This record gives sequence, structure tokens and C-alpha cells, in this order.
Amino acid sequence: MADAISGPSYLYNLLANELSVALYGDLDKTSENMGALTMMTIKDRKAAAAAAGPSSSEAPVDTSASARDSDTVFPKLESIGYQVGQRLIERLTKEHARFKDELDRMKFVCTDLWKYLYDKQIDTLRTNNQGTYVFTDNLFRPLAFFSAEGVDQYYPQSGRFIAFPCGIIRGALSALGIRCTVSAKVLSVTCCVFEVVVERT
Amino acid sequence: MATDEEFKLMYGLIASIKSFVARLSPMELKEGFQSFGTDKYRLHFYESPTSIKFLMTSDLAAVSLKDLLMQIYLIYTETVCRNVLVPARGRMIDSQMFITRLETLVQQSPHFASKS
Amino acid sequence: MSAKGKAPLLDNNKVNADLIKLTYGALVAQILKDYEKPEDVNKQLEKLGYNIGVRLVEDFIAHHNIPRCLDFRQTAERVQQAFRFYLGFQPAVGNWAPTGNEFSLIWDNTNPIGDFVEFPDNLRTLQYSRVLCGAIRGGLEMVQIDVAITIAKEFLLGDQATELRIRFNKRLEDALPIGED
Repeated sequence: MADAISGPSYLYNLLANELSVALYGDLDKTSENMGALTMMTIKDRKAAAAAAGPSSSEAPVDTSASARDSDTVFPKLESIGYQVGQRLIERLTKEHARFKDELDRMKFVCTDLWKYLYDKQIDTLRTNNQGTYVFTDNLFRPLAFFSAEGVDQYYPQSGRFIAFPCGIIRGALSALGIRCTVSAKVLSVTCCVFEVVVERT
Repeated sequence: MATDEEFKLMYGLIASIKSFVARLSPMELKEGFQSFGTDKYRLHFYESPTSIKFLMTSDLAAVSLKDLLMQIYLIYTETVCRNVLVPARGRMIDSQMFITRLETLVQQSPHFASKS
Repeated sequence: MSAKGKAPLLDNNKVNADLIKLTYGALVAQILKDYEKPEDVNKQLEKLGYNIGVRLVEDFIAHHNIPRCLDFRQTAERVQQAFRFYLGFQPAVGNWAPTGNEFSLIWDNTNPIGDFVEFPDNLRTLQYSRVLCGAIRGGLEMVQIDVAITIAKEFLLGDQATELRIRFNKRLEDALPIGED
């Protein structure tokens, strides 16, 4: 179980997630008790231990997260992802044969790029043949840190972690010559669905 | 006894035993305090290098639970440290993943079923 | 992903290190937009690094069975090792102070997280490597070692190497509940 997400990809996920928490956390001073920004140092721990004893704290509940998600932070994170996706694709496609068509490029994102990022492929790719593509990842790695089968405790906050990958997809496709918008939904505990709508000119 | 109170007492107990044990020892201790026994139960203690303390009481048949406690530490890193939504320290762990895996681990342990 | 003749893990490591550098670069650019002043950005980077270090150290210790350090030299080795595990490329340890309480991590001719970065002149006070300092500080604090870290050399600013100077401050004591002392 440990090996699936250990090692370097762990650091990457940590960085990406930390990013989300850092940006979202900054916006909301009231939820300062949660999130990585205010992780307790040893000194804090001393103070907390002195003040309350280690067990007294309530579980952190972040109810306002979903309300904020779509506002200012999403585009920021998305644009970070966009830059990463764009530059990443330059590297990954260096030795790749020419792409046949749009679908071929989509497939590349679902297989090669995803495998590189998350060590697994997108599970299903569907299209209506009119420029809308739906990627489904049944076990989306970044979410796997929070939830497991049958446990959806952190589901309300999971929206924070999809802006960045949305941006990566958009950046990657843009580097492949496809302009599009990307949105995502966390369907169930660990299942994430990305919808790519190609802009037709 | 309130849980709060119990935690505080336990903390004090462990801190005292640790320092006392270290002072008694003629040589530098490597592991330090690991467990104590009474006629009814045994209390096991493991402290990670990052000074997270793991405690477990058991029946008398379980002589050493150090390995089990170390495995719990591993679960802790995987479910709590890796989850940026859980504050890393100083709070009650409410992660369901942690709790589920902890229960499975402990129940599968050979020490679990043994009756003294 | 595992190339022939190479250990898959290391290979994997390298690939992902690129990704981490890219992501970090994009992040710094975003924080710069938000804060503008390089000094403020530095603070944010340190904080981010610290948060990562605090979590990473648990992973490092638990999964690689790292025992307690007996002296500061061992600490230096472990930090070096951690860099190899997580960024796939380890720095040299050197420039020990005669007292043994200060050393440098040195990356010759490179910056471990900044291969793809160019610095405009007006950002020379931005400390791109600050996140490393934060991560090391956070990680060591969790093992009760308090250190102070400075960036002695920065390859991205034209130095021959990137050098982080790490000074031992003190051992941190365990927290005690009230009434105990």
C-alpha cells in the first residue's frame, strides 16, 4: 500500500496540494486553524498543551471552502497548472511521433501525461464527437490522500484540489494546439471527472 | 475521568518515567523506556524520532508491541501527514482513514486474540 | 518509465524532479504577482517550505527506517540523503566549521530546483531557494533540532554553486503539560 504513492511522486503531490491549501488558506483568516499554513510548531504545541491539553481541540470543519472555491483562487491555481502543463508537454512530446488528430492528442493527455503526473492513466475517455471530451479518473491520486473506499470525510474540501490539474490539462492541450476550457467535478470519494470543451473558431 | 484529564496525566507519567529511566541508567540509553507491567495490564510506549508518542495498553501476554506501534506510526504518516487537510500536530486525529486502518492493523495483530 | 540499465526508482525520481521544479517555478511567479515585494515573497516561500518539510520528514523517517541522529554530522548526512530521495540529486556536504556546528550543502554549477529559471535584474533580492531552507528547517525542527539557514551562494544569481549554510542553534525540548516542570 505504501509503495503506490511513496517516493518522489509523493513530494510532487504534497507540493501541489500544499499549494492549494496555501492559496485557499490565505484567503480565509477565520479558518486559520486548519490547513497547512498554520501548522503548529513545537513552540505552539507547548502553548497549546499548556492551555488546553492535547485532546481538547474540535475536529476542524471547513464549511466555507466550497463557497470560495470558484471565486478568486480557482483561476490562480488553474493558471499555475496551465504553465506547468504547457512546459511539461514540450518535454514529453520531444520524441513523440506526429499526432494524427484531435482525438490522438486527447489520448496522449489521458495516457502519457497522466501516467507521468499520477502514475496511472485516465480510466475512460468519452467524446460526443463535437468537441466535448470527458475524462474519468476513478482513483484520482491527489484525492487518494484524503479518502478511501467508503470514507468521504474530506469530500467537501476536495474541490480545492482540482483547479491545478484542470490547468495542467488546458496547458498541455494548448501546447498541442488545442484551445479549450476545462472544468472538473469530484463525483464520488476518489473519482474525478474532467470535461474538456474544445473552442471552435 | 475526563479524557482531557487522562491525557494530561498520561503525558506527565510518560515524561516522568522517561526522565527517571534515563537518570537511572549507567549508560546512554538507546531505546529508553518501552513498557511497564502491572498484574493486570501492560503499557507499551514508542516514540518516533520526531517525538510523536504512541501508547497502548495490553494484556500481560503481549510482551513487546514495539513493532506494532511502529507500524501505527507508518499508518500515521500515510494517512495524516500526507493529507494536507489534517493539521499535522496537536489535535485529535479524526481521519477516518487512519481509524479504519488502525483498527484493521490491531485486529490482525497476533497479540489481538491472545487471552492471558 | 524504467529505462534499461538504470534503477527504476532513480529514473522515476529524475522525471518527477523536473515536474517539481516546473511547478515550483510557476508557483513563485504566482506569489510574485500577489505580493510584488521580493521580501514578502521570500517569507511565503520559507513558510511553504517549512510546511512541506514538517510533513516530509515523517515520511522520510517512517519509510526509510531512519534512526535518531547521534551528532550533527549524522544530521548532515540524513539531510543529504533526503535530498537524494525526494529530488533525485544529492548535494555535497562541506565547509564544516571547526566547532562542528555549522556546515554547507553545496550544489556545484546548479540549483536543485531552478534549472529552468532566469532572473530579471529587478528581482535580485528574491530568494528562489528559500523554500529549501524552510523545508530543512521544518524537517529538523520535528526531530528537535533548531537550525538557522542562510543562502551563502546562489547559482541563479551568477555564483559558481548553490550553497546553503546550516548552523546548529539548539536542541529543542519536549513540551510539558502544565504543572510539570
